[in-house]
Amino acid sequence: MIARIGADTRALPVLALVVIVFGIVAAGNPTFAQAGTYAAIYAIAAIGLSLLMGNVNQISIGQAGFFGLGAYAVAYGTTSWTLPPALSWPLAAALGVAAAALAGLAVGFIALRFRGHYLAVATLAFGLICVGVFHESALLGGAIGIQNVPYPQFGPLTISGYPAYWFAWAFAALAALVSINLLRGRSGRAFETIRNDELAAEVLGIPTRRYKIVAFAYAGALAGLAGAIYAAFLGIVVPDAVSVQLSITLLLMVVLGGSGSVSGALIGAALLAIIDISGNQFENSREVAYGVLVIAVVIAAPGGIFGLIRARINAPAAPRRSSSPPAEPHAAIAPPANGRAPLAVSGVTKRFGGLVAVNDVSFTLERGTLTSLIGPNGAGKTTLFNAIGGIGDLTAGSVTIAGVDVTGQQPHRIAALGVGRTFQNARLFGEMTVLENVLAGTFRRRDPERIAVERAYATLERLELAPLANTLARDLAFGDRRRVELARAIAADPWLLLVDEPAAGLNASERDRLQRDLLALRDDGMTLLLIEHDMRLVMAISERVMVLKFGTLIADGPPENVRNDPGVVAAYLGTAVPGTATA
Amino acid sequence: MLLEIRDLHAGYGALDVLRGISLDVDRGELVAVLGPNGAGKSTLLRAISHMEADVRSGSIAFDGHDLVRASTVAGVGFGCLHVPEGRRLFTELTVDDNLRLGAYTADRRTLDADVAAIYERFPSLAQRKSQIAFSLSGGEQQMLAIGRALMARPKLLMLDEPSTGLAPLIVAQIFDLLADLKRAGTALLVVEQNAYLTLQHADRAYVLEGGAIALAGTATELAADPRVRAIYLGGSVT
Repeated sequence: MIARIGADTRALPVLALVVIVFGIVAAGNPTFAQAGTYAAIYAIAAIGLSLLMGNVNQISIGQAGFFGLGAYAVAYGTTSWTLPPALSWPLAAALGVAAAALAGLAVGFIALRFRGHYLAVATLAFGLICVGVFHESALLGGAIGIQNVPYPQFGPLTISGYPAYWFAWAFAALAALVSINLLRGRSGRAFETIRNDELAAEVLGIPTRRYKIVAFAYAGALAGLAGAIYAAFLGIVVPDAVSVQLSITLLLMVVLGGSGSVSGALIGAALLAIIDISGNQFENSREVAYGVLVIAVVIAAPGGIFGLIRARINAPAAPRRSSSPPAEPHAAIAPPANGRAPLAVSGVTKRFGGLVAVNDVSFTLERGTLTSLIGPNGAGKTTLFNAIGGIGDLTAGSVTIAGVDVTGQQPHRIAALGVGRTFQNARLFGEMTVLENVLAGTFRRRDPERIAVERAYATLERLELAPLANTLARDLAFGDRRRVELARAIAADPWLLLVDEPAAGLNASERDRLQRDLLALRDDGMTLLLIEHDMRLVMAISERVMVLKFGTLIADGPPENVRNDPGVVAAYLGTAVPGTATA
Repeated sequence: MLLEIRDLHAGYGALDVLRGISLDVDRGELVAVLGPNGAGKSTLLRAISHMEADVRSGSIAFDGHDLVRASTVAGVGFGCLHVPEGRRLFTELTVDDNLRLGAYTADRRTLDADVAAIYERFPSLAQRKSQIAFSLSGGEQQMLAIGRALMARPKLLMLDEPSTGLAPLIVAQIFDLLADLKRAGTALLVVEQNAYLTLQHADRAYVLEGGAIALAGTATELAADPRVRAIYLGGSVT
């Protein structure tokens, strides 16, 4: 399990105990019980927002809109339908949650087109639209909202006052458990990789867009559930209660508590609920207190309150290898069955505005060969790699991988075909251990956890990285970072591997290792395409060298021919211009 | 010596790039730094001017000042100017404003005269002085980047790949300009991919490989040295 989530999981029983003890203490104190109930309601919405902000890096200042959908569904349903009270709240709440989830799905789709401040403004607009609709809708009571919402009734038990505390916390506990479960195992690892580096996640076959949309829908559903409980608890829903103010309060809870953690959301929600109730008589000072708190937390604990606590919680042990390893954890690389060329690039052109970065490039790679792509700075090598890997659209041309036309496909789909890739600047997931990085590399295989762990360890051993398994990637030495990235890229046994400048920054002995590792992969049957500036390495290991200059292929052939090609010599060393002054 | 570097180690974060560079530039000299991609050429300039790169150890003496301890701004004040790769103009500002900002550390009383002198040297910039820098051609942008640096009255001008992306004729103009500046007494440290052309104009050159100096000598010696080509394209010397 990811260390960060491990600490989160370990904190939950303690927080549950606090909720239970507080609940017992609050039995004779209506103010306490009310504050505790609000804490639970806020917590449900904050958990969803925390996941959205902390795990898929999306911000939302529109959560009150989803909250309002849940609240109004309950207010409207329970006051207009003629259903037994035991049925009307659950049914209306379920409808509200579903509506909020659908709205979240829609906002999630739209959010893919926005980043940073623009996303914040777009979600803010969603919240404002919701309030506007609630405000103008005669059906929902307009500005005065819906009054006399009945308390949920289950047999002899009426959920109001003190019982509402336990009712709300039961839902909060459920939300916490479901959320923590999402953050574990394969899906949790995917969330963690997106948190660390979206592009690197995508080339491992992780559908980052889908995860973002799902996170929006999930956060929307939880906010809707919070609204549904809120309406039943308070008995009245007005547009002002679900305004931007609430969205910002939820945001504050997540920032204060620490985004990306369930415990942080619970702590933030409890803190603000207590300030809210205890500060009731100081109506105007409340905002001041919020402001001071946020400034203090941002300066003293950028990871939020839970960020401070987390460091004191012992991380759980890393997953171990089973004593009886499953058969064949490292199967031989299965080439594409149809016998087609691993990679065929045809007429690929990529323009950025007026600049032609890649100009009508075509080539085909033979299976089990190692080909290097070289060229001066700015020749378009990485752009061509990105074009093959589905990062950015092509201006013209097509890319065929093992006979499958992948032109215009998203990177995770190309990865899923069996294509691995490394980056010029080794984009590791810094907050994850070496083992977790490599485990994330196995994502596309959909192995059971036990097999995935076994495969990750086998890959680490293969590259002699096992002693570093539990080191955080951000603490690695530079040379090791490169090797871990290679391990991550080959963990799922791709049959085509694109390697971008693997030797950059390596010392002589690390470079020798790299040379051995790459040749071993080729001998296993992998097809490799390498961008590299280290000519000794390129000339020593490549069967074929292609030279790119200003986006155009100017040479293609065995290393010896390419090295002596006059055009290549001129591309690399320039040519003296006759007739100009000499020094 | 104007610039004297001894056993310089530098890099970025965990990455070590320069592994013990020693290099000199004298007044009025044009010194080239050559080498394949990733050899550490740009990092050398960035370490001297403290842009992005971190100096780990070694010494950089410039005109009696210790540049290892000086900030980027202090280095400019001493007369050590860096024209970075990609030019880094203020693209939304006019040509005139770009030039005037170049004189930020210089004497303001002579500002107008200095700007006029730059326009005299670059007539095409004079015609475009109220255009935004973004609208200039690549060659004009490179001239503006050099002109902006000249506004600070440099003793040493460091240029990172001034010929990148320019047509051969424009490249020739840039190198003629460098020869002019040299005659006027400015020392030049030029990083270039285009080895043979640069060697035509340089007095001396250093060839970097893997963050260390692989070859050093006069431009004439190096232009005839087959090892230069072997460093760029691998293989044994033939």
